[in-house]
Amino acid sequence: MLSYLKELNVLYVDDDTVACENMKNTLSYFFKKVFINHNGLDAINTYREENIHLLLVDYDMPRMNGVEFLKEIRSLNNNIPAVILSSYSDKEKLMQAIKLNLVAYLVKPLEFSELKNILKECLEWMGKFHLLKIDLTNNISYDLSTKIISVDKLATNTLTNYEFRIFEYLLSHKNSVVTFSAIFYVLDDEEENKKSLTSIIYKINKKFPSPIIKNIKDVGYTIVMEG
Amino acid sequence: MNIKIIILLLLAIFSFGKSFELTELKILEDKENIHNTKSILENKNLFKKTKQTNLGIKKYPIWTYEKIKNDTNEKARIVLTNPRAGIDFIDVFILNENQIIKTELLGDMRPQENREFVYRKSSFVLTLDANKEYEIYVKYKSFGAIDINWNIKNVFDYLSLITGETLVFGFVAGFVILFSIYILFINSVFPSISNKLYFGILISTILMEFSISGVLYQMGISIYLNTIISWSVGSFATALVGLFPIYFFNLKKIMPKSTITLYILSAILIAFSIIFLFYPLKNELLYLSPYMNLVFFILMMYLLYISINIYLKKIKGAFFYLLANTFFSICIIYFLVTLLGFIKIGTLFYFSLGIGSILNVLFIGILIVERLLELRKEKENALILLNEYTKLSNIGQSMVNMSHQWKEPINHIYYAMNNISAAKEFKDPNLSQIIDNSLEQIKTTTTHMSKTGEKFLDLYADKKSIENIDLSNSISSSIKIFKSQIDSLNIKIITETKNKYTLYSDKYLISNIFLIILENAIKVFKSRNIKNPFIKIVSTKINKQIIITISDNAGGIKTTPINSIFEKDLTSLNSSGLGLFLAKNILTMKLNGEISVKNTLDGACFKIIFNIGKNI
Repeated sequence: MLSYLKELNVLYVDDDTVACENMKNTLSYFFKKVFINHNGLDAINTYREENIHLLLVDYDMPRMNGVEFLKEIRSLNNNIPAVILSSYSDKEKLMQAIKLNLVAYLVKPLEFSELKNILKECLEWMGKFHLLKIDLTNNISYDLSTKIISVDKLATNTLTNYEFRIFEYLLSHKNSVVTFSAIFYVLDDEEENKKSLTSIIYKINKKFPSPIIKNIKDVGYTIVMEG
Repeated sequence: MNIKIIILLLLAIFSFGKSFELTELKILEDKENIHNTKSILENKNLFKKTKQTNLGIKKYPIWTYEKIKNDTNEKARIVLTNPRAGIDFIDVFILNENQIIKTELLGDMRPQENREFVYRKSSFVLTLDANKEYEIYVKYKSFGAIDINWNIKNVFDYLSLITGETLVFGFVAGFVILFSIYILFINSVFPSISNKLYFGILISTILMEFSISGVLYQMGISIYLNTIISWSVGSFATALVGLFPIYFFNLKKIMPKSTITLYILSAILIAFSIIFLFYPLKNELLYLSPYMNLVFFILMMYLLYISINIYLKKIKGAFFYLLANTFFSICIIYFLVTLLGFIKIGTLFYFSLGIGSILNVLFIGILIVERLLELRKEKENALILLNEYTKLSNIGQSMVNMSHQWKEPINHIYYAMNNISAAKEFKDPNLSQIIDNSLEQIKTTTTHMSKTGEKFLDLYADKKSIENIDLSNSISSSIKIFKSQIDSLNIKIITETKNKYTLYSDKYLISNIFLIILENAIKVFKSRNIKNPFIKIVSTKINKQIIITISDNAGGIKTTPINSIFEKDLTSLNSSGLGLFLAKNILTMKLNGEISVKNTLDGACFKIIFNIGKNI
């Protein structure tokens, strides 16, 4: 499920430059793009200019602190998942944060497994608000949570169990060739039935206006997309 | 007056040693108030025989008839004294062979200029010729209780008796006045409502006692004032007696219902005391006194009940309080039983209430002194505790600050570790490079941490604590401790000092005070989000005082009264808890200094004063 994040952009805001550098490295493994800012004012500009899906914000910052920044964001977007990181957990700070509709209020230091858990919670949150829609081309989009394919913002088809597992696996490895055996491994299919795989791929392609999965003969399949 | 006494003394030398007695006591109750001297003398048969001499309060005049006979062959001079001081009007007519030979107008409400004795009790001299019999008619009229008994003494015995009595009263008065001054002193050191109440009880009891027993009268206090004091002040004293345990034992918590009853009874008694103030306007108001006495009796019985309860609950000081109320109650019961005629009247009867109230006051006094000794012990313990607290708070303070300082580096270490975990999980081909980088970073961070740790240890490394301290050093090292927080909040620190001020004192205690006040300011800055925050520290020296003001622009202190921030308050979450309470106590109890606070236009200003030369 965390692989969904590969389609998303995150904004990490913290005045601590050492922390930012490390977090940028760590988060790059999960996300498509990681944006970094050192205060709330700059972060608002980044949010306006870039396509941001998730917010990780430090509490104490000069110029504009985490709470003030998220207040601004909430006036623009009520659903974007946001997490506050703070060194303190005193009542006053928690009371301030409670109005912000946060996914979580985390007390530093943040451990790796904790980070992964909170990213998962963010994804669940996004699913609930249908925020996991990713654009495949200019007019075609796919919702990771509902498995619905939309053309010009109108729902056309839904992928079934085997279909979306193969499709999403290919999507997470887009622009590279995925071998048959890798696909069977994903499907947990002991019988390597190439025939039925071919028919599933055919069905998937039929659900899109134009075929999206290409067959690389005798090797496997691939999805080619820009960006 | 002195000449009179000398004459009497001379007479007394020639006076006769034999004792005389009054016989054939008869009484006439003039219920319609129709009789005068003439009608009485004509209607001897209206008198009835009686044995009761203590009549209580009568709203009408009482006439008595008695005989006295000198069956010796010598002339005798005797003094007749009514044992009860405070009877308002006593008219005495002495007859010999049906002729009035002498008239005496006695009583509290009569002028005393023309008396043979200026004494608190009504008395007169009677000369008995040899072998002659006299008839004595007496008319009593009083707002208080009437006693128709008369004591007979020869002149010399009488004089020594009254001098002795006056001496005893003087002694008691001196003692009570001394004690009340002592209580005032105690109250100035440990102010409490119960101490003030006790002072009130002492003063009003002694006033009442002196007024009832006639001492004030003897001292020349006017009749009206004397009567007001005996009733109004007396009633007030009893009200205070009722209120005392409420405040002394904090009775509201122990016996809430009884507290209400006590309040009610005391309120009634205070109402009586106010009513009696108006007695000069309407003398009949004094007839209310039996009701007041009844309320007082109920109150005392109730107090006895309460003191038994308190004693059973094993509350400190309950024993002496129980003694106080038991003695008083015994005296009151004895007085009542005698009054009702169950016991024969003795001299003790006339003093029983006085003795009771003095004992009551005395035991309560012991109670207060006992509490005082306890308080002193507590204060000594508190000083020891304060020392411990200071040490702990010093250590605690540096622990808190160290953990603040270490928060950031610990966070960095975690993030570096997360980097390694992520690289490993996502099978980053540059894993070993990433591990090396992260390890390098962890190394730098831990080095930084051990350096900050040493900085804190430096402050407490030196075991010798009492020395000449450069105050600006002490201030700057305290500021250093908060460096990371001051930097992160962008607080500007302004220090102003004209000279180098040194103080021979305990450097840990001094730095503790600065730490507490700085921490307080930083805390407020953090919670209030102030633009351009600053803390300004100004040191000056005026005469023998070093004055340090620490002001900020954090918006000021919102609690009212402002000085309550120095009180120990562990309940409020936002308060500094023990911090400022400790700072004040360290300054006042250990450093002979002072601390005060006021709000400025945009913040708070703490003023610390060190008195030089008087320090430890």
